[in-house]
Amino acid sequence: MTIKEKALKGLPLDIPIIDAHTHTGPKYRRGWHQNPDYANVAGQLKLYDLLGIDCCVTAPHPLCDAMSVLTNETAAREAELFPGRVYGYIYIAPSNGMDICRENLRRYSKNPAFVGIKFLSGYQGQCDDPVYRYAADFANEARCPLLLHTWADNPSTKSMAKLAQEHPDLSLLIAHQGGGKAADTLRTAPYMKDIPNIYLELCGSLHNTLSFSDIAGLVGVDRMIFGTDAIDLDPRFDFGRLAISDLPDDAKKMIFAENYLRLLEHSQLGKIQL
Amino acid sequence: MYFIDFNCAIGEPMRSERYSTAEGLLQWLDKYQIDCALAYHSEAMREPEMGNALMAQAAAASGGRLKTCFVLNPSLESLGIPGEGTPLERLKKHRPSAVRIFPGEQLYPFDTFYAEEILTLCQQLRLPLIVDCPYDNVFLTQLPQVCRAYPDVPIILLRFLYNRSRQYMPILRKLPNVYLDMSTHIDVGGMEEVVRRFGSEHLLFGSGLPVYEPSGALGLLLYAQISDADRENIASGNFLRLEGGIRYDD
Repeated sequence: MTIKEKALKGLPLDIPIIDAHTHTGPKYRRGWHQNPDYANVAGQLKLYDLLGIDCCVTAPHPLCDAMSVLTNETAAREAELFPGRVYGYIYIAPSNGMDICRENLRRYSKNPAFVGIKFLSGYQGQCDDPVYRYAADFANEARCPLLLHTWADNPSTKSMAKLAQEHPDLSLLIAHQGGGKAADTLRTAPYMKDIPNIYLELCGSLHNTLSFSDIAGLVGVDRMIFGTDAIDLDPRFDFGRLAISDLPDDAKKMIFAENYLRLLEHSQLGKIQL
Repeated sequence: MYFIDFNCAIGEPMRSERYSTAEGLLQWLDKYQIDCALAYHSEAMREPEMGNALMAQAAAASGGRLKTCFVLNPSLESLGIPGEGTPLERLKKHRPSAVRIFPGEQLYPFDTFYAEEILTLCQQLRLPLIVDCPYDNVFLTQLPQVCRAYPDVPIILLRFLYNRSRQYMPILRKLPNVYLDMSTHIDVGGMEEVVRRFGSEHLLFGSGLPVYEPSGALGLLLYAQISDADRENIASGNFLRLEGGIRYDD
């Protein structure tokens, strides 16, 4: 049975799957809502088991209030409680200042459960913010993934491309297919042709009129990273967008996990064990 | 499981690279194992009677796989329905499975004053009415009044369920003639929660083809932890029930 055939039967997939963009824990601000049955890590993993998702990389929900110490502590605790199923991003908040940024990087870069760095850019700062620059320099040295939030060109594609160009040894994951809509993906794709260390993370695609097959045609399947934004968003939507797409199974396997694992091969931070 | 995609369109004005013809829509349905679609013809936005006639022809030639949705325009005496006679007589002749209005694009408020003629007609026939417009607070404030004034009109809202729990929960609790497209219901565990608290009878499966494609909505529905009966309700049963309630022959 192909991946698409299995998904059309509602069966879990038996291939490696990493959810590379998540925020564990509830968030009921600004219109957001989660079914309380799924609003914790155990609930999130129940959803993963339905789909066959092995693990997630997370920056827990206190990040939306720029609470970097609590966010990273939460990720570390959840990774301990759910080993092999929860990994962390070192979350950096410019408003917390340079000292806390340094301390977060120092402390969690030694924790093997942390595999990359996360900015909630746009909401919390632009790419040229000194704290973000410092953390990007760190990511470059560690050769690790750096996941950047963007929505509707905030932060701008141009500024993210500049950050990637100036830090050629990090892997820059631009979230939300470049910013949530087809125009954002179409604007990002040409930069990806010229800058080899930019990758497109796919979550939150409900407003994007491009299919994942269309996006593969623009940027290449080797540059796409699967993520769901759980539990801001139900993972079954973007899972369906990929699993039920027209892409061949080999391409789906790359996007679901292989591409992300490749990024970690040369990273000095933690590794994902599947 | 039998699937009806109730939110589709055909016609070149959609300006989609996916397809423009009825044949193209059928090919897309096949790709996702969707049995049947309710569609409107996008040329009806520019020339209502002509576009609606084209949709009726396409449905008639589809071997039962396409159902007709007419686009109604309240500024025309015919409301944009092709044929002769009153709008009621024309509807009875063509027997569309639903009608669709675009109050935002056509610049009128959706309320009992401006949409009275269409609402009265739909009430008389119990004809499902798809309201395609921005669901802003003005719309949401008017909606309860419309629903109470026209309780037999099934009013269908599109791509509504994302990040709107404070709106859809009161609607599902208090407005029994409102039906919601589940294609963007991506509050986590939302499908399970809505079905448990409010039942599955008010959710409909739609894709938004050709602007959007069905894979995300299918992921939500096929993997939902709900009973098979609830899943079948959403996939097609609810729409078939609404369609079966239309009173063209009374």
